[in-house]
Amino acid sequence: MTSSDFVSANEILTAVGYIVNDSDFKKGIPRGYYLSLVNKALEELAVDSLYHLITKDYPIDKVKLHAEKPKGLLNLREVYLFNGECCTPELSVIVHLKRLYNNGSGGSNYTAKRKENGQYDPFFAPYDLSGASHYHGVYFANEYETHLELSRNCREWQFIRFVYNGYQNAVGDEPIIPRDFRNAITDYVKVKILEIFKNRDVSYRTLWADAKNDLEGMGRKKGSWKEACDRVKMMSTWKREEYREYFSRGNW
Amino acid sequence: MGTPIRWIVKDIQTDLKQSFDNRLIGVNQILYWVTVVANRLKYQHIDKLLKKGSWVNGHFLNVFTGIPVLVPTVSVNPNLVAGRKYIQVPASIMDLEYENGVEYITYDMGKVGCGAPAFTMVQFSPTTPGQAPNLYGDPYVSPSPKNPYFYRVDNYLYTLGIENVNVKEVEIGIYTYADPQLICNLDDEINLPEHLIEQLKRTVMDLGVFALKIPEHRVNDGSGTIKVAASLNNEVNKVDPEADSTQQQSNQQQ
Repeated sequence: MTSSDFVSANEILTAVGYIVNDSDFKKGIPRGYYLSLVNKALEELAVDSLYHLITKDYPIDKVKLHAEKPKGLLNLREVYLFNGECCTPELSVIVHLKRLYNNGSGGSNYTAKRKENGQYDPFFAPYDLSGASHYHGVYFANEYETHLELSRNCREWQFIRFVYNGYQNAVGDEPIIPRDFRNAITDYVKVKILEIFKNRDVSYRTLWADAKNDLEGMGRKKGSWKEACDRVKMMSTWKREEYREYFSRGNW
Repeated sequence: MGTPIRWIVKDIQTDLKQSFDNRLIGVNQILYWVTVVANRLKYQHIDKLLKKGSWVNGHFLNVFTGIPVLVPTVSVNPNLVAGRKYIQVPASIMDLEYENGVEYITYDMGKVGCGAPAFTMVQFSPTTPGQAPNLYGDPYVSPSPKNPYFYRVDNYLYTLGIENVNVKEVEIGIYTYADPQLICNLDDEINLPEHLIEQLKRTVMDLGVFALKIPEHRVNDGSGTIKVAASLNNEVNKVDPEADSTQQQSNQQQ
C-alpha cells in the first residue's frame, strides 16, 4: 500500500450513522459497539491484505534463548540479529528457519531431526551445522505460537529484530484507518449493523442484502472489500518503474 | 404560539353542553382528560416519528441542568441501592422503546475543545441491568468516563462508567408526560402540535359522552329497596334552553 493518509474512526461512524439512520445511537446499539466493529473490520483487513508492516527490536534472552513474538503479530517476514544500540543496528545477520528445532523450556540444548550430535539414524543423518567453523555463520531459529526458539550461537548478538505484518492498533485503542480502506470499513460496519436490525425486523433484509453486495460484490461488481485488498497489493509508480528498468536491462 | 389549554377545555365544555351551573362534568375533569389524552397523543406522535426513523421535533424536549448525581449510603427497598450513583428523574419520562424518552444525559468532562458545547462531547448511552454484564466483554463498549451508560429503575436513572470520577451533576434532555397536577394556569399552551388538537378534542368528547351515558350510582336509602336514578343518557341529549335561545337570536341577527 502506498497511501500514507489516515482517517479517524469518527469519520466512519458519522457516515455509517447516516446510512443506517442511527446517527444518534438511539436504536439500542451503543456508539462503542460501532467503534468495536470498525476495529474488527481493520483487523480482518490486516489479515486478508497484510497491509501493515511493522519493525520491532528486542534484547536477546541469552539464557533461555527464547524470543517472545511481538504482540499483534500476524505474519513473520524477516528476523535479524544485530549489535549496537537498540533500534540502530551496526552489524547484523539473518536468522534462518530450522525446521523442527526445539529447545523446549529454554537453554542451549535442543532436539531436531537433523542435529550436529544426533545419533545414527537410517533416514536422518546427523548434520553438523554448528560443530565446524561455518557454524558461526549460520544463525537459526524455529517459530512457535508465542515465541521463537533460537540457536545457541545467537548469544553472540545483543538484539533481535522482527519485521512482520501485524494489526495496526491494540484492541481498545482508537482505530486509525488508512484512507484507502474507508469504503470497505464503512460497508463492513453497515452490513453488521443492518444484520442486527434485520434480526429485529425482517423488513431490513433488503437493505442488509444491498449492503452485503456493496461489501462483497456481486457478479462483475468487485465489492469494496476486495477493492481495498487489491489496493494494498498495488505497486507505486516509482516501484513499478524501477522494476521495469531492472528487468529490461537486457545485458544478461 | 400554541393553543391555550383554556380554549380547548371551554370548547369541549360547551360542546358537551356542560357549561351550566349544575353541570355533571366540571372543568377540572375535562382538564384531566385533556392532559391524559394529550399525553397519549404526544407519545404516539413521537413514537411514530422514531419508528419512521425521523427526527423528533425539539418542541417536545425538556432540558434540565444541574441535576445532582447522588450516591445513597444505605439501601432503601425498593429500588435504591447503596453505593450506586444515580440521578432522580426530574419529570415523568415518556416510555419509548430503547429508553428514547431520554434524549441525552451528559456531564462536563472539563476538556472541551474547539468551542463545542459540553453535551456534544460525552453522552450516556442507555442500557438495562440485564444487558449491563455484557457491556464489559468488549473494551470499546465497556463503560468508562468517556463512554458512560445509564439504566432506568423506576424513577431513578443509575449510571455506569463514572464510578471512579467525581461527577457532581449532569444535564438531561427528556421527553416528558405532562402532570395534570402541575397545570396551574389554564392560559398555558398545550404541548401538542396544532394538527393533533382536533384529535384531542374528538377523543375527550368521546370520553365525555361515554361518561354521561353511565347511569348514576345505585342509591341505598336504607329502606331495603333499590332506587335507580334516571339514566344520565338523557343528559347528553338535553338542550340547554338558555344557550339554545341565545344561539337562535344570534342566527336571526345574522
